[in-house]
Amino acid sequence: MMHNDRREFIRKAGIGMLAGMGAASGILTGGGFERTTSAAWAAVPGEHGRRWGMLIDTRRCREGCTLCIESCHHTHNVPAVKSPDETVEWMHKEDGRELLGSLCSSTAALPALCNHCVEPSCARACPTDSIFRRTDGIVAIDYHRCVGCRSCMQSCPYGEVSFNWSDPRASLKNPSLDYPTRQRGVVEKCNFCSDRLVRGKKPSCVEACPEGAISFGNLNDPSSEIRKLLESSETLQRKPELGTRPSVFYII
Amino acid sequence: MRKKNILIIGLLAALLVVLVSSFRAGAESESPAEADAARVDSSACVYPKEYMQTHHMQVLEDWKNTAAHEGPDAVHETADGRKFQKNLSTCLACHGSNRYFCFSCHAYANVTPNCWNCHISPLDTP
Amino acid sequence: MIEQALKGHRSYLIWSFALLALAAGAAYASALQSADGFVHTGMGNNAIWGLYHAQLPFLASIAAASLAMLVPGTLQKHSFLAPLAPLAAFLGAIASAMSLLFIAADLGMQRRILTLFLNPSPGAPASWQAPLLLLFLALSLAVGWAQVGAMRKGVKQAVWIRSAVMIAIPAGLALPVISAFRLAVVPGSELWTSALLAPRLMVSGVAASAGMMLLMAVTAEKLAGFKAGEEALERLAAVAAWAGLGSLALTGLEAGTAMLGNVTAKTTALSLLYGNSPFALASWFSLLAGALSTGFLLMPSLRRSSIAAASFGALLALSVWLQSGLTLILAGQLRNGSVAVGYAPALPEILLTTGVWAGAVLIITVLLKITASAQLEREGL
Ligand code: SF4
Ligand code: SF4
Repeated sequence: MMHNDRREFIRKAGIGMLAGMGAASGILTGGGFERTTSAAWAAVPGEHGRRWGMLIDTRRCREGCTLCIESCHHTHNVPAVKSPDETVEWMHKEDGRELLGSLCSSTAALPALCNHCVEPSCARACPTDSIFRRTDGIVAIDYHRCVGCRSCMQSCPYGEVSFNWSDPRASLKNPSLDYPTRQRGVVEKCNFCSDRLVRGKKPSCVEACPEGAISFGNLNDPSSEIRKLLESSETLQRKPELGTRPSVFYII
Repeated sequence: MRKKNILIIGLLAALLVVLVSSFRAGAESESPAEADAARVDSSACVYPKEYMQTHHMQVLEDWKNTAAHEGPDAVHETADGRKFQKNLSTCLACHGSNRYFCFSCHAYANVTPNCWNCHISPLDTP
Repeated sequence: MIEQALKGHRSYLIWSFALLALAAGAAYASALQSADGFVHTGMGNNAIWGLYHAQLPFLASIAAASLAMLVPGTLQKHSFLAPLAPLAAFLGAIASAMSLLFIAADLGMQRRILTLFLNPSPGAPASWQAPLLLLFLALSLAVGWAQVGAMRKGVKQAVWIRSAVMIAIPAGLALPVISAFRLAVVPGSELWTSALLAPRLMVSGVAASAGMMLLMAVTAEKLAGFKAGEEALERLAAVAAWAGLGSLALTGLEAGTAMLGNVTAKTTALSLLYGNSPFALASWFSLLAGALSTGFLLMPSLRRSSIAAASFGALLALSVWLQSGLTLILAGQLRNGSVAVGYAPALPEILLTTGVWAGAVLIITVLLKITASAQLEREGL
């Protein structure tokens, strides 16, 4: 009898321990879906620290306007490579349906950039930890370390990483002097303007948009402007079903 | 026997859990970012002139290796409490005013550092 | 024993020099590439990875499979595989060396290659690849060399070989798993996130390496007097056959699940291989060649003929190379079946790839020669 009890206890304890460890490691906690409705945002369990995020109000985005892209690419010396098979982009415009799926009724071209995912699959692919998530939620690339294996490019489900197939300086006409270029053989992508944030400036695309369609702020701060906008509007993210938890949102 | 089996299975499962969770690329431990705006202080050099003459490469190498991963916290604090953004442009904010500052010496010492592969050299500025 | 490499028939020397010439071509192509980057390849935004990366899963599976023959051949006293054990060790060493070369060839910043070893991130499967390959290379090379030495001197093999093999087992088994996990980090790509990928690599690797060993052993027997023993050859053919069957079964299971579930993502992944895809021809050829060679090798009467067994073994290996080497990567990276832009490797890229393979074949040739003469020497005593 005694013996049986003990056996039972050990078995249960084992199961309990495993479940506890599963939860602790985050495996058994909630799914990958980001809350995109106002009610849900209000109920976000406290995530601490900073998580920079962006909200693009597509209703205000002008057709045919590329000011945000031009400003971004000029600020960061993104080369304008001619060959379509070798283009380098930090920001681009894409058909809304392609971008956001069938929930998006518009087929107008909408701005797209790196989503600075909370669960970045690019970082999980990098053999050298050269693309990684910073403490403020920005997914950054260490251009001094990248070996150019293009694993991150392969594994970003949004195609937001570009590779420098050729020398980027050859395709740069009028470089801005206070940001470096890259060199042949490394990847590059949007850095959420971490270079400007550190100087207390807003991202360059945010400032460039004449319609004020792009807002930027800390998603983890309930009093930030972007959180208020998120809580008062219905928003979409790109491919939320993949569990990457993008930090770029779209108001349709 | 059974106890032993359970123990072994439990241990294996625990190992599996640890392995799997190590495959989740998460954020490096989140801390409230206190490094905010305008920290670039280029009024006086990070180290004394004599030290920099012989050791600037080590300082820059260290910045190069750590700055990106430290991200918002990539701040160099000197012994006397002055703070610098770990960035080549922190240096160039002063030394860029003499466009030959780096090059005259590097040419003399016959070294070609690869900084200017990406960073825009003062020689290329108008 | 190294001097045996330089002596031999005229045909042996001509063959070796031809391979050497091809390997020199690879050196030329790689010099070209380090000067000008990937402009000399067919890679671009539509084909992020090309011929180089496409070799990696296959080679990893070969390295792991070499254990299937090395372990019983080394650890069991009277295994029929014992005469083949050094050969298996060399196969594993060569496969991992080739993997490392292809990894290096595929880097945009080759001078940062040490970063792969100095800055690993444990959370990324890709970080484990290069260090493990290096470890496996060192272990299998040491084991193979020591075994040939022991065979030549006619002494018992050293005790440390057993421990080296014991360490090589987990390292080798991890190789195809890591290859598969490297692909599994790509969300939304059903071809790559399949849980069957790792087992498929392992099983098909056993089939392919048994097939290649058959080819190697029979060729060496006919040309250099290498003796593997009839029983070993026949059992090898049986291993190839059953592993081939297992690999076909896994392919079938994957396809069956996709078609019965009719999940769009899964059927799209399938059609990237067999449907309206630039790689359909290669995929179908691989499937048919695999079925054909497995079928023939399963027939005992056929596999008793060493020539037939060697040819079908080679065909099986080719089929596996096409499947887990080429189409897995090249088709798998196409994000959308409808915009399947083909990838055509450029000449320098082909030169480099064939050159690395030629170098590998050259090393195998020389090793077989050395092993065969070690055997002859021992019999002459
Ligand atoms: S959008 Fe792509 S590149 Fe950006 S963090 Fe997410 S996975 Fe990485
Ligand atoms: S290309 Fe660079 S950043 Fe991307 S995975 Fe490779 S090493 Fe990491």
